[in-house]
Amino acid sequence: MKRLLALLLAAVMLSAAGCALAEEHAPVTIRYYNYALSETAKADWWKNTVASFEAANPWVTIESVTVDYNSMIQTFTNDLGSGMSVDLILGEISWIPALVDGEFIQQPKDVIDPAFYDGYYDYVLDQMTYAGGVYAVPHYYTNSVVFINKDLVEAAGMKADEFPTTLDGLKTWIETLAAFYKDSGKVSTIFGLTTAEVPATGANINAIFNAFGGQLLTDDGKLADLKAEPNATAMAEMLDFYKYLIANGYTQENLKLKDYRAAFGAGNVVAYVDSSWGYAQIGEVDGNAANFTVTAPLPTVMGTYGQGNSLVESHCFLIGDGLDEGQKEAISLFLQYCTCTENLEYYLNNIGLAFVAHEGMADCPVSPILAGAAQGVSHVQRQTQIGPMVSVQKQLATMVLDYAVNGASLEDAVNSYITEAEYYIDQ
Amino acid sequence: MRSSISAAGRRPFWDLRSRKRQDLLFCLCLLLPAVVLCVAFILIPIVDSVAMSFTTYKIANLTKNRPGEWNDFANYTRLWKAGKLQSAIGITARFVGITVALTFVVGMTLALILNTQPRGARFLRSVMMIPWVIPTVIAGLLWAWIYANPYGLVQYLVSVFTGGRVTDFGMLNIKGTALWGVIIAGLWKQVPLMTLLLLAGMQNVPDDLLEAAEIDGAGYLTRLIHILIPYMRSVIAVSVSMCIIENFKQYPLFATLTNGGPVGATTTLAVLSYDEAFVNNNYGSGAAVTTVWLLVMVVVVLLFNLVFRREKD
Amino acid sequence: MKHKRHPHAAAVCKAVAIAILFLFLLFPVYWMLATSLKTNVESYRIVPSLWPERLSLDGYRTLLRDGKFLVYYRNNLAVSAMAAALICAVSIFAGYALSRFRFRWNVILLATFSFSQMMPVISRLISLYGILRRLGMTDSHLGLVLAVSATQVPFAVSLMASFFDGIPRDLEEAAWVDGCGRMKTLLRIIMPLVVPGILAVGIYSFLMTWDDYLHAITLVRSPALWTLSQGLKLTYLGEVSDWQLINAASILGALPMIVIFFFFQKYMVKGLVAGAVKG
Repeated sequence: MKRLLALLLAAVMLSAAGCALAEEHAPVTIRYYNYALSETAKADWWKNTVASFEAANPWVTIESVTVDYNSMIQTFTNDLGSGMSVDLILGEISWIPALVDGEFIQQPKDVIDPAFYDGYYDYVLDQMTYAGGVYAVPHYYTNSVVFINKDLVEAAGMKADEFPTTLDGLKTWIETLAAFYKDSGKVSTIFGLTTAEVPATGANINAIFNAFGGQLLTDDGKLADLKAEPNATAMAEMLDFYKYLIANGYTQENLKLKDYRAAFGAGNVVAYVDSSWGYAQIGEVDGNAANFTVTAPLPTVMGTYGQGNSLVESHCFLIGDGLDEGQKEAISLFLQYCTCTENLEYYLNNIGLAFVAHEGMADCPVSPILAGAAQGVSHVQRQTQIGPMVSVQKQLATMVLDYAVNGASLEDAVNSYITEAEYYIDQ
Repeated sequence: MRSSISAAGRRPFWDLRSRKRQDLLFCLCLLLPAVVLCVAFILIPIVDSVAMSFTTYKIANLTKNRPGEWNDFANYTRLWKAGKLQSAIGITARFVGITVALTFVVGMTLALILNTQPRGARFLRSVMMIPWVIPTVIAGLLWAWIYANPYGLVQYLVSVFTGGRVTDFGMLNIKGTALWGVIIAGLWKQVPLMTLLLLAGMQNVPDDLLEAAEIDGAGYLTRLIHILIPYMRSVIAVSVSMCIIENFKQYPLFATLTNGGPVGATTTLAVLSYDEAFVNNNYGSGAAVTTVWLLVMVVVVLLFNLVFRREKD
Repeated sequence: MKHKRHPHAAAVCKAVAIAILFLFLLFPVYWMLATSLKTNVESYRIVPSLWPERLSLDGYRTLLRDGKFLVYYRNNLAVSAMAAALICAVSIFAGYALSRFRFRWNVILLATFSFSQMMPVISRLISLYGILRRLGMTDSHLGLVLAVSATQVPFAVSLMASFFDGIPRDLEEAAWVDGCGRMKTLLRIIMPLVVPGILAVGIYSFLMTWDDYLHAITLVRSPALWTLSQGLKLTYLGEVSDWQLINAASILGALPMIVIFFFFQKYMVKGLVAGAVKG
C-alpha cells in the first residue's frame, strides 16, 4: 500500500513538475561526468537518454563529459581546481569517500524529490553511507552471481538449474565436471574466482568473504578483528577454498574478471563468479552467448558461518554541491527519467544486466539470464564505506595469492594482510 | 651535454674584450627559451612536489586550492615504517641493475656481430630498430598479450617445452617471474638503441691497433677487454647512463604489464608513487616517494659518472 | 682467436646468434600483426595459430569506421609536430650558445639540464597542472606541447651543441669581418650547415612525443583533444579484452614511427651517435 501511494505521489509530482516548470524555468546547464561514455554500447544508451530528456525538458542542457574510469578522481580535482563545476557524476560506491573528503558532493536527499527518494530500496541506499550521510543514489545494483555455461554442464550429463546450495555440494559439482573435462583441452576453468590484484577483484573477494560469513570492516570504518569469530573461521575456510580451487587447477590464479569474461564468452569456462553486469563483455566476445549463459546465486551454506550473505555493488549517481535551485530541479527530474522502467528496461536487459534499485521499477522485467541468480538478493549485508576501500579490498587478492599460490601459512598471510590494510586505513 | 663540457675547455673565439658584454647578452637571449621551459615546467614542479612531500595533502587541498599542512615528515615515516620504501628501492635497484646489465651485454654481443659486417648488415641494422620506435604503451600491450594467461604465446611455448606438464604458466602472475617479464619487455625495447650506439663507438676504434694486438697473439677476449672496451669508454659511459635513467623512470611498462603485482613483487618507486598519489589520493605521500626516487637516481647517476671519470684519468 | 682456427664453426655461431637475437626483436612485432588479423575467437585458442586461418580486417575496419581513432591520430600528429618544431627552435639557439660561448655559469646550466633530464614525470604531474592552469593552458594542445617539450629540451640542446661543435669557427670570424650581425650569422651561415643535426633533433623529438602518455593523460581532458596513447588506453582498453582491436590499433600506432624511422634513419642514427659518441 505504502509503495503504491509513494508511486502515485511520485507520478503526480513528476507530471506536475514537468508541466509547471517546463514553462517558467530559466535555462540551466548540468555538467554530467559519465565514465560509461567510453564504452560503446553504454555510450549509445546514454546519448539517446540524454537527448530525449533534453527534448522533453527544453530548459535543461546536459553537458556530458567523458572521463576515464581510472583517472576519474584526477579529472574532478583538476576541473574543480580550474573553476569548472562538477554537477552530476555516474560512479561507483567505492568513490563516495574520496569525493566526500574532497568536499564537493552533497547528499541527494537535499536535491531529489522526496517522494521519489523514498522509493529507493533501503538495503541499496544503505550502502552509500559515509561520514554519517547517504551520498549517492543507485541507478541499479548487482551482487555476486555465478555465471554458468549451460551447454558445458549439460554435456557432462548434469542440469544447469540444479546448482549446489552448499559448499560441499559445490565441491562435488566441481570435481564431477573436472573429471569429465579432464582431457578435453577445451575447458580451461571449471569454477573461476578472480584473484588478480585489481580493485574489481578486491570487491569480488570481499563478497566471497561475506558469503563465508565474514565481515571485513566494523560499522565505524575500522578493520574488523580478523582473529575473532566468526571472521577467523570464515577467513580460514575462504582461503582454503581458494587454495583448493587453484591447487587443483579448477581456477587460474591471478586472472582478472575481464579475462574470465572473455574466456567464458569463448566457451572455455564452465562457471565463474562475477557481477551481473560482467555479461556485457561476455556478449562482446560471442553475440550469441545468451543461448548458453545462465546464472545462479552463490551457495547459501558456505562453511561454518556462511548463510547466504551478500554484498551489493551499484552504479550510482553522485551530486555536486553548489547547485542553484534550477539545477537541483533539473537533476531531480533527470534521475527520475533515467530510473524508470520505460527508459531503463532495455538497458538492464541488454546492456548492463542488473537488478532494479527503486520500487517504482518493481515491475521491470529482469533479464532471463539473471533469473537464476535473482533469488540470491535477500540477505544483503550493509558495508561501511571508508576512504581507502579500494586498496583495503585489493590487498585481499594479495593475501589470497600469498596463501594459495606462494605457500604462506594462514597466520602469516592474514597477519600481513592486517598490516597492509591498517597501513591504508590509518592515514 | 657532455660535448659542451669539453667545449668549455676551448678558448672563446670572439676574444675581443669590447665584444664580451655583447656576447653575454646575445648568449643569454639564445638560452632564454630553453631555460624558461626547463624552469617553468620541470624545476618549479619538482620543487613544488618536494615541498608537498612534507605536508598532508589530499583531495580537498586540490579541489579547494588549499595549501598542505606541515606534518613533521609523517609521509616519510609512515612509508618507512610500513617497509614500503625499502621494498620499492630494492625492487627498483634489481630492475634497473638487471635490465641495464642485460641490455649492455646483449647490445654489445649484437654490436660485435654486426661489426664483423655479416651479409645484410645494413638491412639488419635498420630492422633491428623497430622495437625502439614502437611507443612504450603499445610495447606494453604487445607483451601483455604475449604473456597472457590463458591464450598467450609464452604459455603455449612453455606447455610445449615441458611436454604438457605446465599448461598454465602465467609469467606475470608468479611472484618469482613477474619482474623478469617486465625486464624482458624492457630489454626488447632498449637493446636496439644500445646496439646502435655501441656499434657506432666500435667503428671509431682504429683497426690497426686491433690488428697489431692480434699479431702479438692476443686472444679475442683479451683484445676485447684491453683494447676495444677501453677505447669505447666514453660511448659506453653515455649509453649506459642513458639506459640507467630510462629504466629508473620506467612506468608505462609496469602500468600496462603488472601494475606492481603480484604480491607487490614489481612495485618499484615509480609504481609506489603513482599508487600513493593517484590510487589512494594521498598526494603528500606520493610526493614523498618521488622525492626519495629522485635522490636515489641522482646518487646512482653521479656515482656512475664519478667512477667512469676516475677510471678515465 | 677461435674464428681464425675454425672459420666455419665461427660463421655458424654467428648466424645462430643473429637468428636468435633477431627472432627476439622481431617476432613480437610479427605476432602483433598476426593477432590483428585474427578474429577474437581464433585468438582465444589454447593452441595459437601462427598465421590467421581466416584473414579478418575487422579490427582495422572498426577502428577506421568509428572516427574516434582518426581524431586521436590527427591530434597525436599535431602535438608531435608542434613539439618537434618548438624543440628544434629552442635547441638550435641554446645549443649554439652553449657550443660557442664560454661563461662561468655554463657548468651550472649544464648541471641543471642534466638534472632536468632525470626528473620522473610522475613527480611533476600535480603541480604541472597548477602551473598550466595559471597560464590558462589546461586542456589544450599548446599546454601539452610546452610540458612535453620541456622534458626533451635538455637532450636536444646537447645534441645540437655537438653538431655546432663540428662547425669551424673561422666561418663566424669571416662573417663578423664582413659586418654580419650575430643573429644573422647564426641563421644565414651556420644553421644551413647543421641541417642534419636539426633533422636528427626534430625526428627524435617527434618520436619521443609520439610516445608520451603520462603528460597527455593529466593535462588533456576533452576527448576531441586526446592523443593516441591516451585514446587507445581510454577508449579501447576499458574492461574489454578485444585483442584483435588492440593489436590493430597498436599496428596503426606504431606504423608511422616505423615509416618515419626508415625514411630518416640516416639522420637519426647520425644524430644520436653524434650526441652519444662524441661525448
